[in-house]
Amino acid sequence: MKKVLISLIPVLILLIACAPTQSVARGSVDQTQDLSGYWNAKDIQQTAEQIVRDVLGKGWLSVYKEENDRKPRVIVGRVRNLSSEHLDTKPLVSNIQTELINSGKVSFVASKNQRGSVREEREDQQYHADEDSAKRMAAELGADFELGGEITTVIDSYGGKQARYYNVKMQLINIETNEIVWQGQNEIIKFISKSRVKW
Amino acid sequence: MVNSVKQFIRVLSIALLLIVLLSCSATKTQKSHLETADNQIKQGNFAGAANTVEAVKDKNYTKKDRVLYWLDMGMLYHYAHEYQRSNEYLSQAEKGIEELYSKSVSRAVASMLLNDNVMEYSGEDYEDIYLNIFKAINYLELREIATEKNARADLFDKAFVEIRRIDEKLKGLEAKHKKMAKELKKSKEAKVEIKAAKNKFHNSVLARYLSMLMYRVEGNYDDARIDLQKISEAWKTQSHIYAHRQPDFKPMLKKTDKVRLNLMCFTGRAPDKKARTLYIHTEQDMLFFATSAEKKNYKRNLTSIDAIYWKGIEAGYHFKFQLPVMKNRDSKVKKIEVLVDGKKVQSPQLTENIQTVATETFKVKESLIFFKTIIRTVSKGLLTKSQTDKLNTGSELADTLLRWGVNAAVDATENADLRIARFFPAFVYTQEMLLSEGKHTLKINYYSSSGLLLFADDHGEIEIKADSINLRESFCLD
Repeated sequence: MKKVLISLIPVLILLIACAPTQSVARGSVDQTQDLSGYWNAKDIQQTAEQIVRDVLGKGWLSVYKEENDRKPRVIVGRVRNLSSEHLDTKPLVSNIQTELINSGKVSFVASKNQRGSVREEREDQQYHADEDSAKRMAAELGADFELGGEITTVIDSYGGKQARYYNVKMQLINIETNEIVWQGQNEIIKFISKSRVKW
Repeated sequence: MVNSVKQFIRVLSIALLLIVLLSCSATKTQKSHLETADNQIKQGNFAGAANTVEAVKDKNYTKKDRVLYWLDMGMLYHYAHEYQRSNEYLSQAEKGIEELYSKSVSRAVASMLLNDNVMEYSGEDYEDIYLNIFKAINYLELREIATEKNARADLFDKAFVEIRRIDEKLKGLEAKHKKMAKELKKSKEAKVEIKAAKNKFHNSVLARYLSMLMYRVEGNYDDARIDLQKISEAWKTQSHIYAHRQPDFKPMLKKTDKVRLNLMCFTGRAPDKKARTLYIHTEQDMLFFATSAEKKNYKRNLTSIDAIYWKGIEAGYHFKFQLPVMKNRDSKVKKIEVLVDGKKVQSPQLTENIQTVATETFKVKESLIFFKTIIRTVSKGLLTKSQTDKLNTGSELADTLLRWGVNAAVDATENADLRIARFFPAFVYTQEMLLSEGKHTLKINYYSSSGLLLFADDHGEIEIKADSINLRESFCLD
C-alpha cells in the first residue's frame, strides 16, 4: 500500500501547478540583504561612507584651504566599471557627492553633463529675463579638482562556491597640474554558496 | 476489502501514469516549428525569422524552455542589427542560465521519473560563453551609433564587462562539472564511479581578438599585446580546438597612418543535437549496452562502458534509453570574397570554430548525461516492473494490456533531451583592412565548394572613422 502511494507522488508533483505569489516589503538600505551576491545598495552605501571618510580625513584638504583660503571646488569625472559585472556607477558617485556637499568642506560644480542645460538656460535668460534677474555670462566657477575612479572585481569560484572581491578606487586630480592629491579605496569581499539539488 | 482498495489504487496510479506519460509533450524535444525560421535565415531575413519564432513562442517554448527562447531571439535580433533588443534577450538568457544552476526540486524529481526534457533548459556551456561575445559586439555596435561622449564611453566599458565574463566563465567550467559529478556520485542509485571529463577549452581566440581590438582603440597597446600573446597560446595549448591555420594578427598592433576596418564574417550554424537509442540487457551485477546504430562513433565517445558493473542488479531485464549526441551542421560556405570600393582584398581567415568548441565543451558533461540516464532508466524500469508484476484486475487480458501499455509508455518517456540554441553560427572569419578615413563601399560574397555564389552581402557605402573601432559584421548562416 505504502509503495503504491509512494509511486503516486511523482505523478501528483507533475499534476499540481503552483500559483504565483508576490509580496512586497519596504526596508532601509541598512537592512539590505545580499540576495544574489552581486553589487547592491548596501555596497554602495558602505563604499561611499568609506570613501567620504577617507577623502575628508586626509591632508590635501587642509593644505588647499591654507593655500587658497576657501573650500576646494570639485567636479565629478568618470568612474569606470572595469569589473565583470554590469554595475551602475552613477548611484555610487551620486552618494559620494551628496555626502561631500553635506559635509560643508567641499563644493561641487556642475559636471559636463549638467552644464549644457544650465548654459542653455543662462543664454535664454539674456534674451527673455529682465536685466536685474538675468544671470551673468562667463561667470562660472572653475573646478579645482576632478573626482574619478574605477571599480574592479576578482572572482574566484569552485563548484557552487564563489568569492567576489570588489575594489573601488577613487582619485582626486588637480585640474591645473594633473597632480593626484588624494587616492583612496574600499574593498568588499563576498562569499557566495549556491545550493544544488542532489540528483 | 483492503486488498481490493490496494488493487484499485494501483490500477488508478498506473492509469494516471499512463495518461501523464503519453500526453506529456514536455518529455519530447519539439523542433519542427523552426523550419520556417531556418529558411528565412538562409535568405538573410533575420527580422522575419525573429517574427516567426516570436509567433510560435506560446506554443513551442514553454516556461521550462525560456532560456532557449531568449537565446534564439537574442541571436536573431543580433543578426537583424537590433542590438538593444538582442542584449535584452541575451541578458535574460544569461541570468536564466545562472539561476538554473540551482535546479528546482520538483523538476529534478520529475526528471528522475521521465527524462531531462522536463527539466528547465539551462543552456550548453558554449552558449553561455558565446552569448557574452555577441553581447560585447552589441555594445560596440550601439557605441557606434551613440552620439553622446559619456554614453559611448559607458557602452565601451559594458562591452569589456562581457569580455571579462567570458574569462570568468571559462575558469569555472571544469569546476562546475566536477561538482555535478560529485553530487551524482553521492546519490544512492549510483552504483559506479562517475567522473566528468576534463575541460579542454580555457581560452577563446574570438574573445581575445575582440579584447585586443578594444584595448587598441583605447590606445592601450600593452594589454592588446597580452591578448595577442594569449591568441598564440590558444593554438599551442588547444590544438584540438584550434586545428586550423593561425591567422597572422601581428600587423594589427603595428602603428599606421591608415584607418582600420575590422570585418567579422559568421558562417554556418552551430551543432544540433540528435538522439542515439541504446538498449540495456542485465546479467547478475552487470549492465550490457547495445546501440542500434553508429556503434563505431558511440564506442569512440564512451569506450569503457559497453558493460559495467552494477551492484545488485538481477539478470534478465531489458531497458531502452536515448542519449543526445552533438551533430555538426557545418556550412556550405567554403570561400569568402571581400570587395572594398569594388576591388578584391584579402579574404577573411578562420578565427574561431564555434562548432568544435560546442562539441568539445559538451564532451565534458557527456559521461554525466550517460550515467544519469542509465541510473534513471534502471531505477524506472525496476519500479515499473515491481508495480506491473503485482497487477491483478481479475482479467488476464486486462493485466497483459496494462503491462504492455505501461512498459511502452515508460520506454516512450526515455527521450533524449535534444534542446539546443538554434541560431549560433559555426565559424567566425576575421580580416583587418587598412583604409583611408572616410566613405568606402563594402561587399562580401560567399561561395560554395563548387564556386556557386551562395550569398552576396552588400553593405553599400560605409563610413570609416579614425576614432572608432570600425567593426563590421557579415552573416551567411547557410
